[in-house]
Amino acid sequence: MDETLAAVLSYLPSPAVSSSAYLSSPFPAVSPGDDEEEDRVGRLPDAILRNIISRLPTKDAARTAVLSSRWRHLWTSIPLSLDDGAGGLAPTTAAAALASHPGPVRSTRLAASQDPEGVASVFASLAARGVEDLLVVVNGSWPVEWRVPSDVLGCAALGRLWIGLCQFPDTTGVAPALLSLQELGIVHSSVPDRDLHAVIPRCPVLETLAFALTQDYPRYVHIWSESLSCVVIWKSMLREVHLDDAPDVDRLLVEPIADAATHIKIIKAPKLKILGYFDVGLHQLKIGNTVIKIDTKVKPSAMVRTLRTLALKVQFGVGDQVKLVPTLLKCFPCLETLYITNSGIKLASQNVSIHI
Amino acid sequence: MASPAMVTLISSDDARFEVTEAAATMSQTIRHMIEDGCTDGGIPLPNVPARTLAKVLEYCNKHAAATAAESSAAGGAAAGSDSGSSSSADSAGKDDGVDLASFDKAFVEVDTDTLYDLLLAANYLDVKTLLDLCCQKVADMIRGKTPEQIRQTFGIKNDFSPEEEEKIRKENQWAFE
Repeated sequence: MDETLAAVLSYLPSPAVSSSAYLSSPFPAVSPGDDEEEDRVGRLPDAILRNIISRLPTKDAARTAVLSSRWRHLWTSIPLSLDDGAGGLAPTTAAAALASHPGPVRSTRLAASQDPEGVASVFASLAARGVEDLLVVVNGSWPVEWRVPSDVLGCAALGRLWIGLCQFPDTTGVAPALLSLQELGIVHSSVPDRDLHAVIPRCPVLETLAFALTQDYPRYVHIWSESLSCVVIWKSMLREVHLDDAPDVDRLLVEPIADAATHIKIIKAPKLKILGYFDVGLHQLKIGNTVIKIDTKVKPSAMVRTLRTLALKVQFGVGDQVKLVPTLLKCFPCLETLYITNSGIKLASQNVSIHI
Repeated sequence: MASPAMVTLISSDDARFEVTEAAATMSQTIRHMIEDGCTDGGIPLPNVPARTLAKVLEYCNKHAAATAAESSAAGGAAAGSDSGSSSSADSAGKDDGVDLASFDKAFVEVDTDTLYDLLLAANYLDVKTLLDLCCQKVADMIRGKTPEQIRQTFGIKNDFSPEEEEKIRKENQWAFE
């Protein structure tokens, strides 16, 4: 489980505050014996002191209140950031911080936790505080059964949501209103198809949708979205990825994983520029109504003229895979860059001009 | 290639600095002055002494050169090999990111007084990346320290009575555990 957790953490976005003091070095303290030294840091404008405090892990930030009367109310005057700068803040600490800070919540990175009830109580507060940035990792017992509370679906200010090692919120009887959500990431977590497809169309400004290491659910990802521009499928066991009506999607990024024979179907993606890795031995490509096979005669209706960059995984020892490549290339007549990987070795390179 | 546009900056103690417009306009304050056409005879910066201005300009020159190298590299990189010396000034190459990061780290290895001067100057001149860099430095010096250690590092005078301090600690007990 520790390995799984480490893998999940490696996929999540970096903490808002850094875990180590990377600019730190032995620093000369104010010369001792100089008691009347003026307190220059205290004379810095509030905006600068707030900037400094906002870069601290939650506990360090809260402790500045005790330094002097100058610092007393600064921490509570900036939006709360719940983060320990590493794996995430323990829910009990998060709850305590929420209790002693009145303001809105800027970002939250909740820790791996054995205490789902603790997390649940934190969520109720977060939803009420207009959280903008939220990462949740719950490392419960396997299989991951703890479900993120549905409160999160009503966080209208939330711009970024990543969940790891837990279940997606239940959408039953809930009208999701993720009006500000731009980035949604699902890492090693389960999202029933129904819930996923109930949420995506209700995120009017969603730009990035990422799946990493998902296993049982979702099985299908069908994109109907006016706003999405990037879809990432990373080592995830998906059966289908359909760009049904995706007017703004320009990148479909895929990292194949053994046994995930994903069907990729491009129906309406008029801006699609980048696709890959497409695993020739594993994936199936369908453009419009045409399944692309070795002997397919590629008609204009089965071409994606916007595609500029394609990445393929091909086993060069397997004849059928090699033979499919020319047919695939015919589907992308305006290609500028082609990457081909054979068993992990990158062979071909950029700016291949293709003459068919 | 035409020589780059230069501007003259005048510190509070009347020292004059001639710098490229690209470096000077990393400061939004100076950028606005240039846009407003207030450059004749030099741009006065009455809040910034020469010692601090020199340091700020060291930062701006380095970052402006790196930005220029980056954009020229991006323009020509498609042709393949981008090794070899670029036309841009400085040692800006393709491992610019690493180079700049170590420059930044070294840049804020200064005493607290200089750090406060830089913070105030970056704030007044509105050089956001420099302000953030200096704030990060102070944050890194606070992180993981007890309040006593922080007070000692920065010369902060504790003006609370013991009872007041105890009350504030109790309010945020979880932060001291």
